[in-house]
Amino acid sequence: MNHRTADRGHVDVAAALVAVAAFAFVPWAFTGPGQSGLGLMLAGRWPLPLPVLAAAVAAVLAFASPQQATARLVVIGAGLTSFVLYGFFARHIDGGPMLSWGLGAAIVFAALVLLGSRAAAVAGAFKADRWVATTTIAILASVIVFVFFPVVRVLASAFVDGAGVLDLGLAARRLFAPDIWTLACLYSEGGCGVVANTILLGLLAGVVSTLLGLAFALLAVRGGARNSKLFDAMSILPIITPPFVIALALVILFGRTGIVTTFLDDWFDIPRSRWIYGLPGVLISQVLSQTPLSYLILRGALQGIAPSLEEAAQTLRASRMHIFRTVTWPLLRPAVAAAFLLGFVESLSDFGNPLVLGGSFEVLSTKIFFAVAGAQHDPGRAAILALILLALTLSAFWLQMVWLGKKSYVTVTGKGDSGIPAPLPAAVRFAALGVVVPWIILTVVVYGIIAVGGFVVDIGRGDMTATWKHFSTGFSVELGRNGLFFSGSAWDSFFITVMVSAVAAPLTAIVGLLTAYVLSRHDFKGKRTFEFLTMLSFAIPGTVIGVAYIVAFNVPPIEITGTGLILIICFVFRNMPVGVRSGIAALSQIDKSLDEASTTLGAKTGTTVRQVTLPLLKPAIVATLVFSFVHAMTAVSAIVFLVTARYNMATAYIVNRVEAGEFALAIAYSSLLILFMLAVVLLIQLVVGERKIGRRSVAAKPAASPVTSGIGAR
Amino acid sequence: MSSTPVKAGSRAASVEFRNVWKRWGQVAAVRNVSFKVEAGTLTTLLGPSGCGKTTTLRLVAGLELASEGRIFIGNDDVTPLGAAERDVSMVFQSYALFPHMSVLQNAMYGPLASGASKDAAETMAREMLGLVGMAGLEARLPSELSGGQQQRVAVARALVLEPRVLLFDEPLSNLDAKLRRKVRDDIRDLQQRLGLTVLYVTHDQEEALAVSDKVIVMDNAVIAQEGTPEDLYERPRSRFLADFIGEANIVAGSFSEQGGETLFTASGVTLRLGRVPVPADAALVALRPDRVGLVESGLGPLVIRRRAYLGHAWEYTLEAPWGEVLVVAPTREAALPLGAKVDLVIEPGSAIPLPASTA
Repeated sequence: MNHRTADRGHVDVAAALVAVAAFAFVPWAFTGPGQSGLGLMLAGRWPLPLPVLAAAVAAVLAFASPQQATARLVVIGAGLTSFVLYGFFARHIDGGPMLSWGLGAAIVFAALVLLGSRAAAVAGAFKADRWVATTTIAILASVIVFVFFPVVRVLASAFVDGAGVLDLGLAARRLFAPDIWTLACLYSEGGCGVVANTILLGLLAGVVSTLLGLAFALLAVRGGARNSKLFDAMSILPIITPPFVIALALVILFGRTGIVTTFLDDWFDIPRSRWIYGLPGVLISQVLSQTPLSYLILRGALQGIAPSLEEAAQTLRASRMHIFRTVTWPLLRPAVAAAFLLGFVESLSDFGNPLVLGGSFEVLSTKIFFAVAGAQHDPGRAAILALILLALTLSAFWLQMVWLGKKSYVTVTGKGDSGIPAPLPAAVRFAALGVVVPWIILTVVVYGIIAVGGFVVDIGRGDMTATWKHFSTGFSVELGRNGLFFSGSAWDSFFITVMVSAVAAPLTAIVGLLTAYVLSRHDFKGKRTFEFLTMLSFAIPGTVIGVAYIVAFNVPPIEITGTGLILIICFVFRNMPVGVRSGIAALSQIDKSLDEASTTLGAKTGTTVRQVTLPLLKPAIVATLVFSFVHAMTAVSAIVFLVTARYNMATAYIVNRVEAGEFALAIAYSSLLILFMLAVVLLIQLVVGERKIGRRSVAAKPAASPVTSGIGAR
Repeated sequence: MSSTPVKAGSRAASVEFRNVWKRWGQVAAVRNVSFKVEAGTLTTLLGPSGCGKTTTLRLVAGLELASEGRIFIGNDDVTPLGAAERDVSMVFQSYALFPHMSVLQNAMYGPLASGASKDAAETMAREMLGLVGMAGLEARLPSELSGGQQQRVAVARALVLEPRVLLFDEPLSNLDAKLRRKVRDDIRDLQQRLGLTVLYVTHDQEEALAVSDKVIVMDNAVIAQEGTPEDLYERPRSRFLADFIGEANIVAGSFSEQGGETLFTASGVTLRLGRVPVPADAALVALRPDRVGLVESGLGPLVIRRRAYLGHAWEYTLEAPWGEVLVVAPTREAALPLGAKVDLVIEPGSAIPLPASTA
């Protein structure tokens, strides 16, 4: 039973051989002539082989003396340095044109990372576990390349002028531009600056959605089970609804020619107006999409309050109102704060709703978009605005950590509580019902518009004649000579969206769950920093990421703007924190001694992950797959910067239809997307299945954690 | 359990620690620990929670790596090896049965992980499951077993690989009191029948005394004392040991000699101890409650303040000039009334002189 293996250096040698082969035969650059590294070297690009040389030397060293790592680390460090330096400064080094990194370069880089990680493990890092070392360093490297680098790059571009020269004066002028900071709306007819607008909208959206969510949660937990079923069903809706679709429905209802507006004008002589465009409209649509999430958070907290606490207060002769004030509310407060902050951050990052409904009411996310995409095209200005937005969201997250870090009273003890939840005081109950009922009606009407809008001639102008016209424009299929021909105008973007989402979702799940596994199961130096970097993209609004990607990845060495690849990468790293969170939540419920038992039985870390951890993680895998797939299909904010005519996404296509006034087609497309996502969610649940560990089976449903924690990623 | 012929013990190996340290930053969980566990014996690591016993066990398993010092299994230096490379199995406190695998799959896990064929793995697993009395339940999931059955599966899973050392981390803590004694005896039986080297962690001194060939008592990251169960109870070398293993009245005072008998004087009361060798630094004496008799004297310096009837014994709490004294007397003797003034009669040679220590 000697399971001690003699593998020392074989993997290293294999990695080096792959690197050499890739250098010799695989096209080095992403764009350009398609020559391999070897070919380019022969054409005079002499620094190119240095990293491959380093990999080969390191592998030889690993084979010759497996337990010595210092020399290897030095060689690999030198190889990586030459790789990066030549990537960024090729022009200055050998005078040739800049080269982008393509498949060949990526393979060589990956080999170096692998060799370096293994050497680091031999040197004692990561508790000498080579699997953990490789995984952690690989994730870290990709997060640095695809999150940290672009964000730093875009922030840096705020401080330079068009020619790339540092210009602090210009940066200061950009930063203190009056249209950003003015508070003119307080004392004059003029509008306020974009920062004031953004914060005001965020505060209002946070407060209103929290109050509504609270009313729903109180009724659901304390007002009878029927409510709770209906509310739970409603809470799924915003997750599978593209964010701007609600805005669209609002325009159809309350716009100048909207259904309600027309009705009021015809019957009550209330003049038509454009009130919906601006703060009110954006607020209503954000609150519509945020309320269900507040509800989920607050419902969980309410359920976590042991009824026996309130019963104890009752036996101490407190009145119902007094109990609510002194027991229930204080226990609920942390969750209320969490719901508010989430609503606030969500409003700040929202792009779709302000784009459709904002009118002259500008917020940071739309202003960033127009600074890049609009006529003014000023990336430096976009960068400054992105910097401000990032500062706002980061401080909200920081506030959340400081404020709520140690204040959760919700405890899951596993002990039964025989108490019965106290019914709501009548006054609270009626107040909650008074808010909730109209809100449900509004929600039903809004989704009714979405459901019907695609099937009638022009819902925006009240022409309710049934028609298939919009679906046939977008999704007609003809039988051509070569079989089916997808002639509808929307098919391209639909297929691209499905493809990108289908590729991105499993990648997101893999990267996110691996990160969660490393974070929750292994201890090593620098773990805090690693955790911070992997969660970083969570706090970055999509608009900022979008700008960062086009600024950073438009020029060599990473030149992937305008490809499908950049879309996939964007989704993977934006949704990764969701996978990390749901993975950590799931792993914390799986006893660590299961891993250790596997290890003492002779299984290597990789085997343990495959045989023990992954099967037990099924619910988290499903949650992450569903979430990243759905998020990829509904994302707007980062995507509008990255799509091209060739690689268009469904949401970007719909936004364009909205801007062109083709509401019906936009709605038809949206409802199709919603149906498609529902089908895929069900399919994923079916395929990955449930986790059976005995008589109790744990349904593989998206856990509350990714839903409530992953919304910032839109 | 059946009486299948024994073979596992042939691989049993000794375990040796030489000056092993384990540090977490500035804190040492194990401080300069050296000991040797002979092959084929059952040794217990005993101590209060946080004393470093579990860390020591995990160091043997390779789940933690030593910060300093060497660890040997048999003649092999295994210090740098991880858990998967050490040929050591462990039975976890929680049993750590894989909840998504059947009993059989759990038992087959080890052989499969180290490259055995499926058939070979199944044969080995079935044999070992039979040995621990789990034949017929192979298809069950762990959640469908009782606590005692889960424990047996955990033991079988650990034994399938015929490890050189078998580790137990508080194996009885999840069982109810009645079952504990039976499982304890089963483990000891199995160990002796198969000639296994077993290292066993517990915080329950009675359990440790009952199963062990040798007990290593740890306190505050170091070994406080090691020896046979009898050694530790009869000849503790520190106040901590005397207090931790069994009950003890610990009294400060001074020793003297008179006519070949050792006398002990505390707070003006002189006790006759019989012949007891007294080390030079002795300043305390430990008196076992069951080795002390009471004589009603009417003028003795000690007064009975409380008494409790325990069925097999009376438990008296006395008020003495130096504090309280606990005395256990068999119930066949006549009970003494509350408030009685008594003298202590120490069983000759039973008193344990101890050095004054802060611990």
